[in-house]
Amino acid sequence: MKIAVYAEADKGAVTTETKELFTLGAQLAEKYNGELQAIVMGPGCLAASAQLTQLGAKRIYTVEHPLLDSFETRLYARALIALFQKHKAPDLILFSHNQTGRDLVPFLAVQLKAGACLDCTDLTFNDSTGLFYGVHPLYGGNVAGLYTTNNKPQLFTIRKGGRDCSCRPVENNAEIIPVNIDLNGTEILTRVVQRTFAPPGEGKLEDASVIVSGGRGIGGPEGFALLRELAAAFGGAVGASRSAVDAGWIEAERQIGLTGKFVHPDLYIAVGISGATQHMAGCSAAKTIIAVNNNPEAPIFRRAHYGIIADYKKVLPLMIKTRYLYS
Amino acid sequence: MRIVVCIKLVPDPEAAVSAFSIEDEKVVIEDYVPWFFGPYDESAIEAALRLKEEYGGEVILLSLDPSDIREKMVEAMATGADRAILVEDRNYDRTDSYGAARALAAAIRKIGHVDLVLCGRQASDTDAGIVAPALAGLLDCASAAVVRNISQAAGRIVVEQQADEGARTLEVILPAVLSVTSENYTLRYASLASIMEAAAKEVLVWDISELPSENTAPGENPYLRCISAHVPDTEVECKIIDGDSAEEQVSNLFAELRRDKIL
Repeated sequence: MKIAVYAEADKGAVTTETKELFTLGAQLAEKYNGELQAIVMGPGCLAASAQLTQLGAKRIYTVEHPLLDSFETRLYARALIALFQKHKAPDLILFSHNQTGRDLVPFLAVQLKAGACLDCTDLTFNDSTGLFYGVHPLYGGNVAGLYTTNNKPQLFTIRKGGRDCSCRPVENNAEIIPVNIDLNGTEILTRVVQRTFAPPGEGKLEDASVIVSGGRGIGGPEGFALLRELAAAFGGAVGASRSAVDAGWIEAERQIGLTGKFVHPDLYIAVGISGATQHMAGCSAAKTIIAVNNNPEAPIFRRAHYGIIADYKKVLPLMIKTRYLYS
Repeated sequence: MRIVVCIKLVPDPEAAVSAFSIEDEKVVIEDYVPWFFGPYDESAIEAALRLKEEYGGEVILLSLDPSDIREKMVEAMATGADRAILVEDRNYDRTDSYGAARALAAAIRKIGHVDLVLCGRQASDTDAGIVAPALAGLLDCASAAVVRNISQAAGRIVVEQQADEGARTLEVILPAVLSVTSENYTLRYASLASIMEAAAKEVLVWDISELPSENTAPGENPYLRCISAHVPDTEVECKIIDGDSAEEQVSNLFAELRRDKIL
């Protein structure tokens, strides 16, 4: 069976997310006797094929075309469909659950009359059906579902993070297949006119070993100053729940949760956070969770390891002071 | 501009995990859980209303929920939509995202001359994020998922899309399907007066068989199937830290953390 990674490259350099997909793809190929392949499109895709070879792909399809210079959902879908008309589609294609995955995969799936499951945390193979199954959260994370698609190619977007992306290069020969497709005359329907880069702040939340996170209970943007101080005392980063972001108290890039970032710090301090499932889905991988909340009934006290029932405005300054005394 | 907003009833997103159980590999939700239009669907309605306020046009709410949700649709229209359309399908499966996309596509074709379709970025029950881009694929039109701002400039629709690097601003050629995120769009409250006015607004009910049948073949193999489900045990034993004062609580907390070798 053919297992393909939809690879992405930035100016010819394979992305970290793609490397994570290769870790999963290689595991699946080895376990289920499959051939690992790659599909890479857009500018610099030929340059990326050297790296993709070292990542273990046995066959690499490169698709270059001027109209693919910038991602556009319908164009990229058409390009992939054209590719599969020339070369039989793989049985399984892994995409990263990133913006491309969210935009492209369901659009592509219906045009291929296939199906796709998004935001899967794990994949297994079922011998009797010959299909891959993906684990996907439902009801905000209260339920875990096992999903499969009925038609080939099977498409899944895989949740980022938690997989090895060091990818030591392997001795490998790959068949590189440049694919010419005809997209001429296809109208471009969406065009990027500006990119805004998120402020670097204290670094990526996904890499932080300590996170201090605030929710609705913070009450306003000013309260986050205390959280920043506490985070600084631990050398950590500041996160937030969707409520705090939607209220405009902190920038969206800080949001942790099912529709935000997934983090796995050593220490997660949840301040004024109720403990809604969608938020916990983003932080429950933390080794230790401390909750500060003045509502004793808050669900967070069933999800945290330590809890303080108190007003965060009283508690946080003391925590900051104590931390500096002992560190 | 004619804007269609696709909305769907979901069980209260804040329902506790104890409200969920599994029977015959299907998810069962306790009766006491109320059903609402999810937060992202509400954001889509708000986005549509702001566009209508600023640039004129018509906002139509579209749902596949059974027609006995008429009352909830009227409530939803009270915030400012012009009319609502319900599509009735005996075989409606609210967990079948691709089936939903097919039925919505058929309804949108029947409505005709639709400029913009807005959906929430994901439904609070399936958390799938499939309907909007799948709908765009079926209509073969412009698509952008997870959009946090929509405006119009010089005859073009301009959207700010959440992106991996931060955000992207896109010019979009209509017709388009966009999925909306909640950051900048919180649905306004409806006044009592507008709730009463909404009762007079049109709620059309179409049977699925009335829609162009190309994409709505009943009994078709669902593109995506849920094979099984379980409720993960996520409860953690929490040590509630004692103390008569905040000073004591914090002091005790750090003592515990040191004792447990967390610090």
